[in-house]
Amino acid sequence: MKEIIDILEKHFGTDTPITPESHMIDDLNGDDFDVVDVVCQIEEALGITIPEEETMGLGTVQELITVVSAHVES
Amino acid sequence: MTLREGDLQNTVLKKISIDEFEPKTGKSENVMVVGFHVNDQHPGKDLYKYLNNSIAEIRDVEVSPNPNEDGYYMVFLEVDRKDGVLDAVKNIVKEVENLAGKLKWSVSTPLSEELIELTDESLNTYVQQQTGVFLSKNDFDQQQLEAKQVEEENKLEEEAQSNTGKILEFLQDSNLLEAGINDGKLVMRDRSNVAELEIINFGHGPDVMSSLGIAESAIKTDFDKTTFDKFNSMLGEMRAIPIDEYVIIYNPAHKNILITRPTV
Repeated sequence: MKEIIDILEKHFGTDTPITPESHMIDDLNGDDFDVVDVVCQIEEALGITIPEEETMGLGTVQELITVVSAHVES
Repeated sequence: MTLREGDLQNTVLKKISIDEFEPKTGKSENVMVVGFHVNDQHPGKDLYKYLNNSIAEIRDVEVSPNPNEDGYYMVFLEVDRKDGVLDAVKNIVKEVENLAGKLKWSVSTPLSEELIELTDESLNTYVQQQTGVFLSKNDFDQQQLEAKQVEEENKLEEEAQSNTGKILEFLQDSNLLEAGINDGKLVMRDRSNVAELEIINFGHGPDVMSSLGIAESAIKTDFDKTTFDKFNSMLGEMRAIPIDEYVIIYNPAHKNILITRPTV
């Protein structure tokens, strides 16, 4: 979880506090490219691969954490 | 998962996009966007990670979340627009070849209608490498047109210079005491007359006449006889004849003719 937040803070900056409820596009001023970017960075940092279909429609940080956690635990 | 040599073979398209997309990290005058096409998002993400760890001077890397209208995902790089940036891009492409294998890369750019091979020298014309300068297609085309016009004007100027010598040599059989060419005008002088004529063309008779759309059959009959007597007196064995609004000077011993027009 901390690694994910670190990556998000590095990517989106720390001007806006990042919480599980933060929406990556609406709250953090990101776009679909940014979502793919952070997923790639997380995959690389944690040594996991997340199928594309699981990242489609990702919005909030909590949704991202849920998807990532499923692959870390499995 | 660490990427290994050849891992992205048959997934990366051999076409690179340059300057077809707006940069995110700065203005187009200072930042160039280079795009690679991949056939799925997974290899796109792999290429993203690979380039993100490159030692090349890359401002930003992104992978598109969706395929484009041709079904390809794109991996975008943003690099500083500066002298030598094209060589830097070529080095990045070499890095990509470690994964994608050797490809015959071609480049699509908004300044060229055609794809240009990455190794083609002409690519330097179509990829803008000067910091702070980014021309639109219209401005680029206008600039190219102006450059071409200047080149043609210079060529005509050179031809005119070259023709000056030839024309003066052509007039050597005349009775002229002096002949000079200045600013496209021929000034001739004999013992008693001075005449000035605008030079229109000089060269092989039939060629220069047809280039102006004139024919010997158009010899005028209502010409100013006094003026032409003066010209012919000055020209000696050479002859001046009126055709349309022109004064054609020819030398019976010469294949070339000089087409002139009386100055106002």
